[in-house]
Amino acid sequence: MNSIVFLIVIPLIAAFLSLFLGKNDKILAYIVTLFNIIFSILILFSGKIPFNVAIGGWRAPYGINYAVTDLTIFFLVLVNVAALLALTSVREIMEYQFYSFYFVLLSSTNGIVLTGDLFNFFLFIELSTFAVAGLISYKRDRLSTGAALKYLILSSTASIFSLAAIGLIYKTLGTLNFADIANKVNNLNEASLSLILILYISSLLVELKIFPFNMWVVKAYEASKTSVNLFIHGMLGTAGIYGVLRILLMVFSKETGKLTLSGNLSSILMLFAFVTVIIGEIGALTEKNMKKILAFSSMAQLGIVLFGISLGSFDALKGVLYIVISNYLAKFVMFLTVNEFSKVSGSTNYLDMKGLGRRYPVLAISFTISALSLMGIPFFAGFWGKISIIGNAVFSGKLELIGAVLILIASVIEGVYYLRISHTFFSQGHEREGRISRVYCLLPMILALVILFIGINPDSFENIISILLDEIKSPEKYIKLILSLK
Amino acid sequence: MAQLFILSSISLLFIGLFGVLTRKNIVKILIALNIMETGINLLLVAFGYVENGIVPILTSNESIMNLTKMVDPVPQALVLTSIVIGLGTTAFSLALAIRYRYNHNSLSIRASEEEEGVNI
Repeated sequence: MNSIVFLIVIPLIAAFLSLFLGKNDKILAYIVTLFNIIFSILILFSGKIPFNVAIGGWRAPYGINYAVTDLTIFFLVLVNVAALLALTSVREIMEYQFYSFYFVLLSSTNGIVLTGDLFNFFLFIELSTFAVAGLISYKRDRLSTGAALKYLILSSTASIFSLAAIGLIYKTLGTLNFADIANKVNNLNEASLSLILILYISSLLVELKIFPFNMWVVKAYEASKTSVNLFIHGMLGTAGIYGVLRILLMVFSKETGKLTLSGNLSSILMLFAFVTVIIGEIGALTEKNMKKILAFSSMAQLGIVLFGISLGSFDALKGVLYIVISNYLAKFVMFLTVNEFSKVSGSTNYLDMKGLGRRYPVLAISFTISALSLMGIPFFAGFWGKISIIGNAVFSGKLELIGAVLILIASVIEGVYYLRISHTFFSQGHEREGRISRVYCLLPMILALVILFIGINPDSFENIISILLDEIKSPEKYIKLILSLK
Repeated sequence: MAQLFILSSISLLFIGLFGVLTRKNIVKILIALNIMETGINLLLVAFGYVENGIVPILTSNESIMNLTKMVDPVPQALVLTSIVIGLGTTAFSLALAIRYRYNHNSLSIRASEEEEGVNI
């Protein structure tokens, strides 16, 4: 299966081709994205998973390798489907810069998910930084240029520190391969592991929008187009979650599949998660601009994800995967709905969208379903996530108990601002000129139905999650696969 | 000697960090970022440094005997790649800085906040 490299190379070639194709860029974007989706689904059903590809024929610890396992293919499909869904929100004719950066982002997010080498991972993170900064600044107005510059400065500073961590790992363990590090990590003493993780986690937390590194998020979401918001949320955010799962739980973990940081570090990570949740929810409560509300809300959801990961139990991880998938689907529905409504009302303030829910009930109801799912109301997808995280946190310790209470309070705050918005949609409004085509209502409706289906019938999704958890539980299989040990 | 390298690289790193955190001018921030990158590159090279080491190239059959004397080539490869990335970052952010100057008529990183009325 050497052809796995096509997932990264073909978008990169397309990034150069798009400079010359002019108005045909859109067709090229659809073709390449569809190719990526079909290719990853073909791999999913080829029955060869898990397999390992050594680039250039150099065996794993010496060369760079791409590994495809269950966890990888799950996130690979999520990232590529996110790319297609986000492309559907591009209506107007975009210039070649937009598509060129889009292809670079597609290639780098695929690379983040596929790679099995720490330095390669760092390179793809850097590449995605350029692409996202370029996409944010696409509008060329004051707000977007400032937001892009701030994101670029923040994330390059963070990635410089992660480069230092890579150097330290090479100095101490003599390897940069994920599997080889996981194999040797027990030889590291506590102090060097903590230093490496402190330096390394920072660059991951920038992509994950966690508290001290998240001041770029709101500006970037507000300044960019809806499609770019969806790229950041669906592709970069999902790849970041994959990075955290793989690196924290499977590479730098001394116990199988658990977050084994020394006591203080894991409490600090948990505190970051709390502060992120609080800032996200309170920020969203006070905002009127829909894009800012959604940015704050996705920050809060990722805070819950980090909290679930730092709990260090497999039931909580199950919850984390539910939250990932429910947040993934719900934000798509919400951004697409807001995109349509803001085109009709002419602004992103939700008070201007009064009465639109009566004219377009499908969109407004889909929005309400995803809001209920994010809040964690029973029989929606988010409920199963929140219940396993909270259920685990309550009995774990004092700090965890505080976290559980915080998440419950956060759910109430979420309820207040999301249901306020839904109520505004359905209240009496004045007549408007613009019209929304029925076709555009279809996609949010389908995604909302998926949320409902997972919520009512969690067993259907439980199987997939248990396969993923099996992989996280046994990193020695991953090590054996890549190093081909007997 | 290796200690000297590591010491100077760490000090470069912190000089750069100080610059990034305290300067307002975007060009100065980018210069500070470059100083940080130089520090890290020096650190990586220092990790592969061997006292009185030789070039890690096998020139003849006998040179395999000097394997322990050779400096580690992997950090050098990493440094080459990271120099290229640093070049890309600098070029791209300078291009953004030019557009920032056109939009805000200022190179201060706080220009956008000051106009929105945020007190810092």
